[in-house]
Amino acid sequence: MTMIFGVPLVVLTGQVMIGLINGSFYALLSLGLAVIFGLLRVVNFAHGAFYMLGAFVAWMLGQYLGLGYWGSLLIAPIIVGLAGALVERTMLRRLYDLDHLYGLLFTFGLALLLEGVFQHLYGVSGKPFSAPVEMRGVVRTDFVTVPVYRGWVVVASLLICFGTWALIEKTKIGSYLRAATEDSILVQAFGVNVPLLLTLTYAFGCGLAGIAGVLAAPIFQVSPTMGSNMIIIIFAVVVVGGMGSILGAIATGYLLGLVEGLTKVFYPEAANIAIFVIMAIVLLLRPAGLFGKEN
Amino acid sequence: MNDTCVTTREARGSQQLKVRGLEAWYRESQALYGVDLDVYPGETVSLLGRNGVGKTTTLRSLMGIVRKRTGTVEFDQQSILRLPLHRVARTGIGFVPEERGIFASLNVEENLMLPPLVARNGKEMSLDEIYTLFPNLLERRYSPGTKLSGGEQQMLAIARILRTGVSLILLDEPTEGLAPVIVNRIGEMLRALKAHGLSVLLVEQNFRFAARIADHFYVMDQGEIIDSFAVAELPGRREALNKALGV
Repeated sequence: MTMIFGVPLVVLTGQVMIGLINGSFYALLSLGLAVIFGLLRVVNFAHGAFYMLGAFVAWMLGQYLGLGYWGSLLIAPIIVGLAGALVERTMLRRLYDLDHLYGLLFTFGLALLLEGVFQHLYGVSGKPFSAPVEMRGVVRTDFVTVPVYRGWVVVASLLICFGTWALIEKTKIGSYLRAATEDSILVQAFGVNVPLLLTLTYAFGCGLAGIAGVLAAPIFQVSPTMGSNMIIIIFAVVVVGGMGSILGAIATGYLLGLVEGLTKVFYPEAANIAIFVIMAIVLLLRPAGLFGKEN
Repeated sequence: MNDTCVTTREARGSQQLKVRGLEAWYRESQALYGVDLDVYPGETVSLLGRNGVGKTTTLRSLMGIVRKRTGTVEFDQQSILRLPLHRVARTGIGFVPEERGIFASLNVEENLMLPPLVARNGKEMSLDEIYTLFPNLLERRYSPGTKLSGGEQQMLAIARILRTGVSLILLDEPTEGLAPVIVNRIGEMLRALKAHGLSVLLVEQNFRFAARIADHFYVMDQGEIIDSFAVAELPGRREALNKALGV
């Protein structure tokens, strides 16, 4: 058996795969968080709750409407995005003129509320959600073993992340978003409907969390607390990558997923804190984050 | 003399921009105490005054960036004081801020294309026309907007408003910090705008620059208009003006 640093190769690549899968979720979630923070200057604490909502909506679509995985993957994020739009229009936008702390407190409260509602309705134990039939197999080669569904998650996450990056960097609406991130008042003075842009951006960020939720449903259980378990790590990822940096959030998501996976191989005791140790070191050496601009 | 001036202004038609008793506040502190001014179609009007008397605040209040305002602001006979900020531009007013507002995360061409078209009235310039007029913008169209020199950034800031088809441009200190040869370029540009039939409300510290291109002048002090005269009256007023402007 091939060994690397005294570890069997299959074990090593297995952990790399797990790291990549976790990294896929970190990247998707921190990307949405970074886009929202960049434009709205709101630290969206409800991001984990929208991730959970995505998984639950997918589960409900299957349970009550008999919709399959692919239909849910398409529709659940749209529903989550609409929920985000509603939250922004009716509540969040009232806080823009106040201290940023209010946005954080509001979204934190919203996260607790959503989590509480789903715990009340569905209990804490979690609901099973199966991967689509055509993706239940496992790919085995000499050096790596990958369940097909997990491979799909990595591919889907990469596609969505770079699709989002292209949307922001290469399109007209993306140029509005970049410009408004720098100076939203001037962009509005040019005649761009910035209030609408804020709604769309929040909805889009929440929709990304919703997609992550649906993708996660067959891997983790669909449970009301799945979001709060995730959100703390996501904040660490965004801090390491640099607040408001799109590519930074994506790259750091995968990177920290990998680091976490590899720590499990070489020093399992530290696996749960590896990300936070890195966060502390980055904050000490480069407070603006790996990809952030130092002011 | 005053009469002849009034006749020439009125020969242009009715006011395109009519401001009466405009007061404005930054939070609790009042910055404008009743500004009255007019811009007639095709006219270049210059707002003069020392630093901190409320010239920039006047432009920002007209545009709707400063929200706490009272008084009357009519553009083409339409009251624009209560419009949401993004609707003001669509009535046909463009804004070129003092700090130029070139976006670092957008390249030159994206900066040019950013403001949406507000009108197709023959006054809007196509991208080709802009590039013919400013060949260096064409050359550097894929560089980040803020990598341009100060003068090029100023031209970009004006050019991107020209593309939108506005009929009035609020222009804040276009020559600030620029070398004399560039200032001349900007002057030529403003004369070209005038020939094109655009109205300009120009805030300027550089009085000699303003004197070369404006048709009408207002002098501000402590949040109020204290004087108003046409370019023909300028020679007789130089001394009083120098005193008022502290030059």
